[in-house]
Amino acid sequence: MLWYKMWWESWIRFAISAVALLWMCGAVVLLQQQVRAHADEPLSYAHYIWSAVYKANVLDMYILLVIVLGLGGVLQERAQGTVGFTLSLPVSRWQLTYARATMGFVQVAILALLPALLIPLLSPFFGESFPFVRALQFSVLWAACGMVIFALTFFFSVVLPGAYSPAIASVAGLIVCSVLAKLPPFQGHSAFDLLETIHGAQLSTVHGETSLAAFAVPLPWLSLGLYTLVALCLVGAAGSITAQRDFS
Amino acid sequence: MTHELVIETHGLSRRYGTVEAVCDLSLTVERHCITGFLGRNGAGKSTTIKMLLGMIRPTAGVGRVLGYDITDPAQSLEIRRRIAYVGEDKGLYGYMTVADLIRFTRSFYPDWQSQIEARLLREYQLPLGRKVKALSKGMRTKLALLLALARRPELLILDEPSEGLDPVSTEELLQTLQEVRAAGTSVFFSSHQLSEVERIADRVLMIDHGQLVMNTLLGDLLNNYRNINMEFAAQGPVPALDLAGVERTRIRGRQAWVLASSNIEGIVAHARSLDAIVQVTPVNLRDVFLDIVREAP
Amino acid sequence: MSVVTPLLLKAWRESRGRFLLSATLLAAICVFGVLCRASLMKVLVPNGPFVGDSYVAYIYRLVYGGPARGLFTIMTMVLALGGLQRERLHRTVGFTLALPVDRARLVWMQALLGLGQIAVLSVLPLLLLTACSQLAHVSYPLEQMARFGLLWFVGGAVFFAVAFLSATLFRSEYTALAVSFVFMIFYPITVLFPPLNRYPLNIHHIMSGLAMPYFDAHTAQLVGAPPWALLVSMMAIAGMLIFLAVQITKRRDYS
Repeated sequence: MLWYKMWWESWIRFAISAVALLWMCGAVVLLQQQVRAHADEPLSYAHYIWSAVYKANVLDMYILLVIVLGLGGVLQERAQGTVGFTLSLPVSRWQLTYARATMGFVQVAILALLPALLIPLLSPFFGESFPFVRALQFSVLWAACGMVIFALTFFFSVVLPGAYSPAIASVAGLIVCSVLAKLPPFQGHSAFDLLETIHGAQLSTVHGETSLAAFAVPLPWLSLGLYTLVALCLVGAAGSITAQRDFS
Repeated sequence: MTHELVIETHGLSRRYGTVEAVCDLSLTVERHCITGFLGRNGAGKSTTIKMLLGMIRPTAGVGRVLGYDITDPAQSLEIRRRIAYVGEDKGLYGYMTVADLIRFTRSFYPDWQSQIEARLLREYQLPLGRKVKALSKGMRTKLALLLALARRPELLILDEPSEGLDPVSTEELLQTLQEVRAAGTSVFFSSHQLSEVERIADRVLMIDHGQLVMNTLLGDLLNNYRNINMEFAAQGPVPALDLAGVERTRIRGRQAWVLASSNIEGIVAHARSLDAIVQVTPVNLRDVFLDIVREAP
Repeated sequence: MSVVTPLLLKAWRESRGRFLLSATLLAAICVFGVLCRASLMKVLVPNGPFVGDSYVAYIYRLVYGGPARGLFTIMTMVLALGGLQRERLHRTVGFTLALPVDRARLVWMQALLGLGQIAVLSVLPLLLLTACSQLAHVSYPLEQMARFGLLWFVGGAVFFAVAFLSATLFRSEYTALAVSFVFMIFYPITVLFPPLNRYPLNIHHIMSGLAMPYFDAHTAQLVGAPPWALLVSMMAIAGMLIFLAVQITKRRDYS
C-alpha cells in the first residue's frame, strides 16, 4: 500500500504535467506552418520538432515538471504534521524512500513517453510525419536524464528545509552542471553534460529511415548508464540521510 | 451580573455540498460567564467558532459577536481586535522563537498588557529563545494562552483547549480560565471533555448534527434535570409521554427512559397512573450529553 | 509599531530561505562567470554572431539573456508561493486569521515583500558584475545593467503575480508550483497564436530584449529609449493579478 500513498501524494502534479506536456506538443505541431514560415532559414519539419520539443520549450517544461515531481517526502511531512503517522507504519525508512523514488521514476518515464505517443500520431493531420522510432529514442534520453533530475530534487528535498528551496537548488544544480561541463577538464566529454545529452542533437542530424533495428545505435548508452547510476546513488544518499535523521 | 450578550446567532447555517455542518443555529452567550460548547466530533462546534471569527462565511443566518456583525469584514476586524482565540491545534508559527512570536503578536494590540505577559511567562516558564516548533504541546498551549490573555480580551474563544494535554496541564488550563472569568473576561470554549465543562462552566450549549439541542445553566441542569426510568407491566404499546418537562424519551420493549428538565412529580404521577414502576435518579452532564446526542435505539 | 512592520516581518520570515538561496545562486553565477570568463567565453560567445566587446556579449549570454535570467524567472515564481493556503496546510491559518488585520492587508504585504525581493534580485547582477568586473579589469556598461535590471524587475513582477495568483487558487503547494511552471513555458507558445502574435507579449523576450526593437542582437546591448509603455502595461497586469488574488483571498473560507 506504500505505492498507493506515493501515488496519492503525487498524482495531481503528475496529471498536470501530463496534460501540460500533451498540450505543449499539440501546440507545437499546430503552429508548425506559422513558425517555419517565419524562420530565418528553411527548416525541415523534423528539425522544427527537434528545436521546439526536444531542444527548447517542451523539454524545458519537462525538466521543470520533473523537478516539481521530485519535491516532497518525509521532511515535508514533518512540516505538515503527518510524519508521526508515516514513520509509525510498519515499514522501514528505506522502503519509504524507495517507494517514492520508484513511483517518481515511473512517472518521469511516462511523461518522457508522451511526446513520442502524440507527435507521430498528430503530425499526419497537418500533412507531416515524424517517425515513432525517432520519437522513442528521444523518450529514452528524456527518461534517463529525467531520472537524474528527479533524483537531484529528491535528494535536495531530503537535505534542504522548506517546501520550495529544493526546487531552486535543483534548477541551480542543473545550470552549474551544464556550465561546469563546458569547462576543462570536463570539456569534450559529452557524458558530463546532462543538458547537452538530453537535447539529443546527434539524433536530430541522423538521416535515413529509422527502424526498430536501428533504434539502439545512435543512443549514447554509456552516458545513459552513467546517469542511471548517478540517479540511484542520489536516491541511495537520500535514503541513508532519511534513515539516520531524527524526526521530532 | 448583567445579561448582556457577547455572542448571538440567529438561524446560522453552513453547508458543504450536501452536508449541513451547521443548521439553523440560534444561540446566545452571556457576558462574564464561562460557556461550554459541547458536542460530538463533527457536530459543528469548530465550524461555528470559525464562522464567529470570520474564517468561514455562513450560507444563511446572522451572527453578532460583541454586537458586531460576523459577516461584515470591517466589523469582523473589530471583533478580532476585542477577542482572543486559541485554536484546536494551537497552530503557531514554528519558525519563530517564543520571544519573536510574543513581539509579533503584541504589535497588533495597542492595549497589550506587559505585566500580564511577564507574569504568565514566569508562571508558565516558557523558554523565550526556543523555536515554537520545538515546544511540547502543553507548552504551545500555554504560549497560545499567554498570547490570548496578554491582550486583555473582552471575550476568549477556545476550540478544544485541553486537546492533547496531560492532566496537570489540563488542570492549570482550567484554573487559568476561571481566573480569566474572575478578571471580567467572558469565556466561550468548545469541548467534548464533559468533566472539564462540568467543573468550570456556568452555562452549557449542546450542539448535535449542526443544531442546538440544549442551552441551559449548568446549575439548573444539575439541580433540576432528572432521569426517570419506567417499566411498564401491561402488554401493548408504551403510551406516549409527551408531557411538559420531558426533554428526551427512549423506549426499548416495556422500558422507557425519560430525561426531564422540570415537572418531575407530574411525569412520575403520570407514569404511575399507567401502572409503571418508576425510578428517579439525579443526572450529571455526562448522562445528559449521552442521552441527547446518542441515537435512539 | 504599525501592523505593516510585523506583517512584512512575518512574510520575510516565511520566504527568507528561498530568497537568500536565490540571491546566493544568482550571485554565484555572476561571480563565477566573471572569474571563469576565459574558458566560458569560448563556448558562450563563439566568433561570428556578435560584434564589438566580446565581454559584453558574454555577460549577455550568461546573465541577462542566458541561464541566470532563466533561474531568475524561476526564482520569482518560487518566491510568490506560500500565503494562507500554505498556512492552512501547516495549520497556522487560524492564528493568522484571528489577528486583528484584514485579509487584504495581509496579502498585499506578502506581495509587497515579494516584489521588494524581486527588485533586490534584479539589481544584484548590477552590483556584483560592477564589483567583479573591476577586480578582473574588465568592464560592462553600468547603464546596460540598470536597464536590464529594470526589464528583469518588470518581467519578474508579472511571473511573480502569476505564481501568487496560482498559490491563492490551489490548495496544494506543489500544484501551484507546477501550474506556475507550466504557465512560464506555455505562455510564450500561446502568444504565437493570432491575434496575440501581433503584440510584443513574450515576457521572456521583454526581459532579455531578444527580438525586441530596443535590443541590438549584434552588440548584445539595449538601444534607444526604454519601452516605458510596455513596462507600465506589464506592471499593470502584475498589479491586476495580485489584486485578483487579494479579492479571492477576501472571499474564501479557511476552515
